[in-house]
Amino acid sequence: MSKNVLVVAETKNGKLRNVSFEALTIAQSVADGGEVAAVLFGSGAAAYLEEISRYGAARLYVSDHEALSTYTAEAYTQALASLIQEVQADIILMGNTAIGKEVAPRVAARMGMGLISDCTSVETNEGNLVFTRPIYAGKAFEKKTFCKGKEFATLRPNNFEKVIKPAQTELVSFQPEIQDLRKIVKEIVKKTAGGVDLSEAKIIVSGGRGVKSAEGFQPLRELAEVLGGAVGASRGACDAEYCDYSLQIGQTGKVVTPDLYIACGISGAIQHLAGMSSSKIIVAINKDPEAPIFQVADYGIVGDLFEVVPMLTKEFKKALVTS
Amino acid sequence: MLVFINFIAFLTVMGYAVYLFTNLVYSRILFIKLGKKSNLKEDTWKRVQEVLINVFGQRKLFKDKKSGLMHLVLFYTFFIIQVGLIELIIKGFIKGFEFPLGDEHKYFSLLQEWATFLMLLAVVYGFYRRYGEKVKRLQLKRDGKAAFVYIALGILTSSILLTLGFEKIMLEHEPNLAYAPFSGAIALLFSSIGSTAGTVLFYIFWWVHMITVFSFMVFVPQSKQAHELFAMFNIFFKKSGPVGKLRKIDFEDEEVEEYGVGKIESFTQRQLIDFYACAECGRCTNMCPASVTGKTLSPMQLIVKMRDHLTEKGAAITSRSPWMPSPIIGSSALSPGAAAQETASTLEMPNLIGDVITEEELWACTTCRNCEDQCPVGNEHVDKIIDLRRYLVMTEGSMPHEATRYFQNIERQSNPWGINRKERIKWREECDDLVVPTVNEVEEFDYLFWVGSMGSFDKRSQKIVQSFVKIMNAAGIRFAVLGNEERNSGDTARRMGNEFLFQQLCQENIVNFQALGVKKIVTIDPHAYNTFKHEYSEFGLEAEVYHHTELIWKWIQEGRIRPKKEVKESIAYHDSCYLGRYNNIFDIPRKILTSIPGVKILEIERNKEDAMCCGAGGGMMWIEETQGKRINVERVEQALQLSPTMIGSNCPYCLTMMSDGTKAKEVEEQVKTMDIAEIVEKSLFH
Amino acid sequence: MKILVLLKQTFDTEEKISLQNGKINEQGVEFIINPYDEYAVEEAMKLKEELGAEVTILTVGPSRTESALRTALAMGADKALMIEYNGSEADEYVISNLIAAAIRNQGFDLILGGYMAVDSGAGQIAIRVAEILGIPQIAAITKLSIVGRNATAERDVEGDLETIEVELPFLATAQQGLNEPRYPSLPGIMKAKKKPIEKVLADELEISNEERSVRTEILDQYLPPKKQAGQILTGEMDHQVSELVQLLRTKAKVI
Ligand code: SF4
Ligand code: SF4
Repeated sequence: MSKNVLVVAETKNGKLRNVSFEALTIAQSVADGGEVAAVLFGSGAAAYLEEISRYGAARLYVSDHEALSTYTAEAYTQALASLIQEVQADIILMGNTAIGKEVAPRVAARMGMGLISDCTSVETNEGNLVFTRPIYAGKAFEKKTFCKGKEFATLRPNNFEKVIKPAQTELVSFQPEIQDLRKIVKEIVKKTAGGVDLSEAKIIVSGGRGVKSAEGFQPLRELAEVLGGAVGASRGACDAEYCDYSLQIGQTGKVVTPDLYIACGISGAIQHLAGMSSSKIIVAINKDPEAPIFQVADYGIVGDLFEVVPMLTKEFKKALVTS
Repeated sequence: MLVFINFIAFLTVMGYAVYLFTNLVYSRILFIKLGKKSNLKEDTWKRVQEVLINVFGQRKLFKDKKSGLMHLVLFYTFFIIQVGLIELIIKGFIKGFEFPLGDEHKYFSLLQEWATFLMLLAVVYGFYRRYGEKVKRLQLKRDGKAAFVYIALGILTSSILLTLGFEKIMLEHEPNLAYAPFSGAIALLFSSIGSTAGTVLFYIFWWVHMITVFSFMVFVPQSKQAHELFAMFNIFFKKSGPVGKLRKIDFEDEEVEEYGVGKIESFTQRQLIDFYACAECGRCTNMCPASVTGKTLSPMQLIVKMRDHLTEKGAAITSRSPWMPSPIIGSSALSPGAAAQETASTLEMPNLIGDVITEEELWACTTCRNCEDQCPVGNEHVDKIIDLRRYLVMTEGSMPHEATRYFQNIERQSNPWGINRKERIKWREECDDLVVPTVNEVEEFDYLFWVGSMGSFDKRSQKIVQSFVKIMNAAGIRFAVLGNEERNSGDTARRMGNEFLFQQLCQENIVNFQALGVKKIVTIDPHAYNTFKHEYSEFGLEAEVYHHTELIWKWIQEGRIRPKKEVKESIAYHDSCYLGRYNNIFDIPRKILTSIPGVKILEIERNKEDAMCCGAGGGMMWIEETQGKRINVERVEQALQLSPTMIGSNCPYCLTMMSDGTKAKEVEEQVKTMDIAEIVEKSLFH
Repeated sequence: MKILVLLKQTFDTEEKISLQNGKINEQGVEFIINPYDEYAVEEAMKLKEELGAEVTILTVGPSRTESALRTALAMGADKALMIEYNGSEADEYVISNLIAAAIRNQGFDLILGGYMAVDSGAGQIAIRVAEILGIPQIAAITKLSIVGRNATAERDVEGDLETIEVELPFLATAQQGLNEPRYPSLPGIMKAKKKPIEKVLADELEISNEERSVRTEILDQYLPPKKQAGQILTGEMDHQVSELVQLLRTKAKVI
């Protein structure tokens, strides 16, 4: 049975987000002959037509409504809800991004729809879509499906393949009715990598006594910057005054749960582990192969951090540019 | 006539002084009575013994030999001179009066002369210690009161000798240098002035002496000299039982709204006596690891600040003036509390916690008891600090967030890190070749081995556990561990002021122990050891409790194990507070080390009773130490002075602190850190 | 001011997850207040202390959730409302309808909740409730201040900091870093025992059958393959480094 799929695309820092392409790719596979359309809010959206077309959308909806020029959850919600009506979408996909996390539940509530958020895989089972999503912070998974109404899911970024499938994409302008906006975004401060707050950071590069000096943190900072992460430290490093106590991670410092924790020159005393062992992926770089940190690490490199870290930075730079 | 006037004048002065004195003392007794009643256990004889040892034996004072000797002289000459004072008073009205001792009076006179002279010497020496030599602990509090004491005592003693000297001139007695060497010398020196001038000078110095005596008498209760009155009672009323044992709170009592102490009157009367007993000698602060490393906490200031606060608040509540005569003392710089006192009724009282004592001070104490051990008047600082913490934690729910985290982790997973409680037994996976049964895996066991959270989860401490298990296996000991059933002893929670959590854990543990029929418990953790041994009994535990060093020594003596391999190390041995000062176990670890071939024990300057804390006690292991120098680094530096090859310890917390310290000093390659069990194990097997 | 806090009881974050009959096993598990919801409770307490407020805690769940409510009451909340629901099939759609039905027309000036629940990780309920009630929401706040009827909040947007102004009433969800939740005092715990917990059965709430019928269902819950033991990379250093980058991107998918 063919289904119309609407993908809510998104840009960040003037570029379409990777997850939008992933969503378009999924859309192709689940449309089953139906039409795949995309929508992109915000001013100047039309400029992304060509890129969208590479991933097979038949139409790109854009709107020059003033209320949509910068993001507010309420305006986007109203616009998206009316568009879903207009295009009679059966399936709606968007990224589980900061915007997706706000807009998707609102739209779902507004339209009485179900929503399966933060999916890491989508498959078809006897004609039904089955969504897989992590629960208990990734300690378990569940498969969910829709039993009523439209199917609406947000996808965890960078978890799906994206397949280029060029198509003729028609640019369609629409004018949603938007009213009653009561929230004002006063300002957005782009934090530089070093400024990312430790407790919220998705990626943390952390240094221990092994960094040997305050300057020793520099290569770590560079790596963090490339990854858009934050820099942390073990108590040992703070004690030795290589860095400020506000960066301390551990029993008496901050408790963090990033997706990726790169421990550089940290031996891994329990006091430190208590603050970071729930990180999703732990990478350890340490000269001492006996260091306890390797026992909790998912990946370990035995080596001098001053050699390894700059190499990593270079490698990531390369890898992230090509993506 | 003159004699009569003299007599009336004397009676007036004395009457006024006695009136003031009683009033002042009575006020202070009333202030103390504001506190909660404390129930004394009937062990009067033990209490008297304590008084004999500590008051009349002046035992604690001799921790500082010079000051101890000085104080001993002051203490005993003071009593002797009191007797002489009676005679001296009567001399003012009956010319040439002497106690009717007949010919023996010359010995009395000799005693008085020397006592007075020695006291004078002691006063001069004390003055020199404070102002010349500038002994550090005596510089902690600088006010006019200390100087006043020396001056007053100086005048007091010299005026005795002068009065007696001029008496001889007045009476035209030939000075007897053999039995009145000092006054006799004065009489000789001034013999030329004649008997009239001698009479005048006699009365002048007699009055100087009397006025000084009475001034001093009035001064005593209003200053640190109050210890002369209160110290003895303080020692008599001191908490009995194991040192450092904390008071149980009755949570069944629904009436209670304040847990711990949030206002000065909530201390017990016994605790309040401490304040007036303090001599401001600074011995406590001098040894306090927190003070030594530059934290705001100073045990002496803690006592002194609370004393002044009690006086101030007590005065407001009882409407009694604590300062007399108020025009002199009330306005003089001698009494810092006076100004506040006047406004006490109009202004709001400062808060005990927050204004008088800051939270920062309270959360700096490692409960090491070095202060208490030093205190010559038997003051107990730790139970007060913990009472204040109890208030913060239980009544207010306010504490450093690390403490919150600690408590929640204990509540949820029974360990400080919040690691899943079902992983407690995981340490056993590393002991393939060892026999480590859990209580469920054996029919019978002699010892329950309490592994503790550190031993179970901390990688480094697990090594201590492994060593001890090897030793037990070698000694053929039937033991068992609780495995995942083990919870937390609750000691740290208790020291951090969370009595509620402690009692929960304690009761659960006891139920558990009883269900298993546990008769003997052994642990590698001195903190668990101390609380099991001394504190759990109040909640119903009946079991023998051992620290692993106690048993290792026993097994060595029994020949069950024989350390024979040479361990060539120079070991600086660090006494943990909870095995040492709390339990008086100083020799056993040393004996064990001595029995190992090749080991050379080095004694750190501060050792045994005086050993400085590693910095981890009292929950400080879990709270960030941001102020001043780190205690563990200081302690390691003390050890490093001996150029050891190893620092030995008997506690997993100490071990962590010592090894962190060697890392901080970047000597971890040269100076190893090990528990005694590990050292013994090396000597048995490696 | 009337503040409502939406709260869920979850597994302690350190709990091991196991299955029983294809479902997550709740036996012998330590339950806590969802950590993000705990920030919300703490924020409500701070506002109460600062501005004066009546704080109500609301939860949907089986009877075991009462202990979480008691904890929140011990932290200082005034009363609690418990929508008793024992099943597990209700989805976010139904639960948010239940909540909305229970609190509609009660005049809450501020609704706080956690940014997500650490068990389901969906992060939908609070925001759905805002939409149903027709009030604005601010997700993932790290700072909140209220003056009169005006509020300023800072929120975390994938590392950037957004400052938002809004008028009461509105809903906000709490992100880590907003505050440090307090430890309940003993008098707090004692008082909490006497504070009212109103209980309504989910079935008794007045919502339509349509609003009661779930939109999604769970087909299966399962555990991931056992986390492999850590992998120590070997070989030439530059090879190790590129392998690591590769692994992180394609296998672990964290970058
Ligand atoms: S117990 Fe130790 S740390 Fe606490 S005040 Fe006394 S000496 Fe200082
Ligand atoms: S408390 Fe004891 S040791 Fe400390 S100053 Fe007072 S008398 Fe001296």
